[in-house]
Amino acid sequence: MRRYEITVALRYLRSSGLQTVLILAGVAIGIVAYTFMAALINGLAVSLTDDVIGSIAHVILEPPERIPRLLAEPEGFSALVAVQRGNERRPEIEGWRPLVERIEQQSDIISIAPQAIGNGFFQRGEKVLPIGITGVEPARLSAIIDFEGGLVRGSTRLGPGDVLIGIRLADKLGITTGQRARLRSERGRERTLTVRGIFDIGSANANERLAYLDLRTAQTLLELEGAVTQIAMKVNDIYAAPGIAERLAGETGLEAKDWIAENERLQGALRAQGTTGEMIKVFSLLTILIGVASVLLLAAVRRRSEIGIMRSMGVSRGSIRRIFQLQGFFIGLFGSSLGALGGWLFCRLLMELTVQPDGSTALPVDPALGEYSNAIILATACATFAAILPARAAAKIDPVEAIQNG
Amino acid sequence: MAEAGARAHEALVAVRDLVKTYRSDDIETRVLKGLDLELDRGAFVALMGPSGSGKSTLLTILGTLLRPTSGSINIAGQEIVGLSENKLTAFRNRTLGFVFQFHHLLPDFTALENVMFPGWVAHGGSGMREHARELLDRVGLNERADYRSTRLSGGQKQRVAMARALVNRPQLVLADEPTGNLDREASMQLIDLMREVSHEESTCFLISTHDSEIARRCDRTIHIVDGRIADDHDGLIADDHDGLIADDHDGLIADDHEGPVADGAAAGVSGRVE
Repeated sequence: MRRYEITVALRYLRSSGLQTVLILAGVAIGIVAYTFMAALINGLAVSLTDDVIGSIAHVILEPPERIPRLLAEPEGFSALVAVQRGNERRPEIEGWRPLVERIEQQSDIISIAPQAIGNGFFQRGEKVLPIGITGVEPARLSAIIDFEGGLVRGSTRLGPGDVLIGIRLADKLGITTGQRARLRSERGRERTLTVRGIFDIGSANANERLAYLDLRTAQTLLELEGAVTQIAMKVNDIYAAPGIAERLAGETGLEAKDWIAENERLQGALRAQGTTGEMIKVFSLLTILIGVASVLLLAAVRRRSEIGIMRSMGVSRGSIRRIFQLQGFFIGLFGSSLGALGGWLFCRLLMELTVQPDGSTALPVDPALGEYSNAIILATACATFAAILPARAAAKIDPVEAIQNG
Repeated sequence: MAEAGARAHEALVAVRDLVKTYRSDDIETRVLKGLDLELDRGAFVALMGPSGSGKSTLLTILGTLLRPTSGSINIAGQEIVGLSENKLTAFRNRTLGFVFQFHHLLPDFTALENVMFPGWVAHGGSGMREHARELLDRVGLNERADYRSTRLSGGQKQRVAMARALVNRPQLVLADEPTGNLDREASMQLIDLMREVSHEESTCFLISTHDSEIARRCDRTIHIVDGRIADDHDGLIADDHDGLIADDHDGLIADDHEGPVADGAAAGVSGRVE
């Protein structure tokens, strides 16, 4: 690369005035579309994932399923065997306390909650509503779900005989804090509980179906005798959850599930969204490619005689090629840098225009996730690539003919 | 100043049996038909001939922009037929200068930058500014150095083009009807300037022209007719020339030419205004 090649390329772009402005605008608009799509799709993914993982555990440890094993394979014969799950004992985790204390020490675990889970019915007058019972240690109540943030009425202090219920359940039962309702567990045990607090944690299902009890109360109602049915935890890197789950399964001999595997549909939706976003990005890059190629092809024709004269002054074909490649490079670099700035401003503007009274935005655009450097690198590469054809055409120009035909 | 008679011994350009044939649609057109030519260092030579006689083709081949069909060309000790494209390009940059009928300045650059341009190509841009300024001064355009070339008059542009042709101190300047677009006064100024440079710097100029007035200001005039040299004589000289013309032309002339020799000169269009 010679210095004069850069000088000529820049001078050509500058002197082409309106044409350069238009192609730069074209590249910039393509990159606004690119970065906006990235900010929207990534923002959407983050907000959907946040919504989902905000109220679920990232990793759950459960007792392994008991499946009877065949003692011996009959040799030389094939056997038809129906295997039934062992239902004579309920899967539960005994001796969970030391286990929880040990896992809690691990650096990638943010919070942990042993839980006793089962089903039951709330009864008030003639109304009977099915619910899921979750028993937690009061100190670890908000380990998985932020009840403090979601509390609508009352408090989150759970004592024996207290219950926290969702706002829809309270509505359906016609009950409010301080009032009592009868709960019957799947084991047929009953107890009258006082509604200590009412929460709204965003999910209609959770708001209608979940009741949180003090662990001991739940254990009694579910006849668990000191055991828990699962240990739920949150981890600091949600995308590391599968690895952590695998590690914990190995360490504890329990079965471990991670949120990603449990939310296949969310993952599918995010992937589909991602693919759509990628396609739009590819199309915006293709537009840039075609635009730059056509502008530079025209420039190669328009500059024929100048190319001829430069060749007569000893400029090599390679130099002519590089002068045009450089024009593509600069168009890509300047255009996409403008576009990245424009995209960021556009996302900011959209965010500010769609901001709700509670501070959230209607469109989940996140200006921080616009993939700006990717956009600039890809657009610059595309524009440089687009210049290959015009650069070759320019280098092929016959200087004699170009000079004679002016 | 070139001494007559020294030519044969230290020729800058030696062309032997040069043939150029164009082919299109199975039709062969022979433009140069076995042309021989020698040019001395510092010679100031007019190339005349009717349109289509092969003047431009000869200049283009000597300019290494076009390859001959056969024959040999030696310029400044370098056999150029058969050189690779890259070597020819570098050779062109360092040894040759061009002045065309249309100035062909780069419109996006100033007069000074246009003059420096071949220097940038040769040296990557360093140290050319002073030399380019001197050349612009020499062609009387120092005060226009920073003008865009599009803001100069026709004569000024052509003088910038000449300064540009000289910036790498070429040994041979090829000028293809350099005054074709200039009025008489500007034409003669340009030619006188070329002559001055030629004699002072020992730069050989080969100037194709239809204008016998220009030919008269050259030291030697070569007529091409139908692809061969039809006449080659030392020119009628300008005032400051010290000698009268001997009839000492060394060309191998005449017998085989088919066309009327002087037509080109007589029919030369002079004083065309841009």
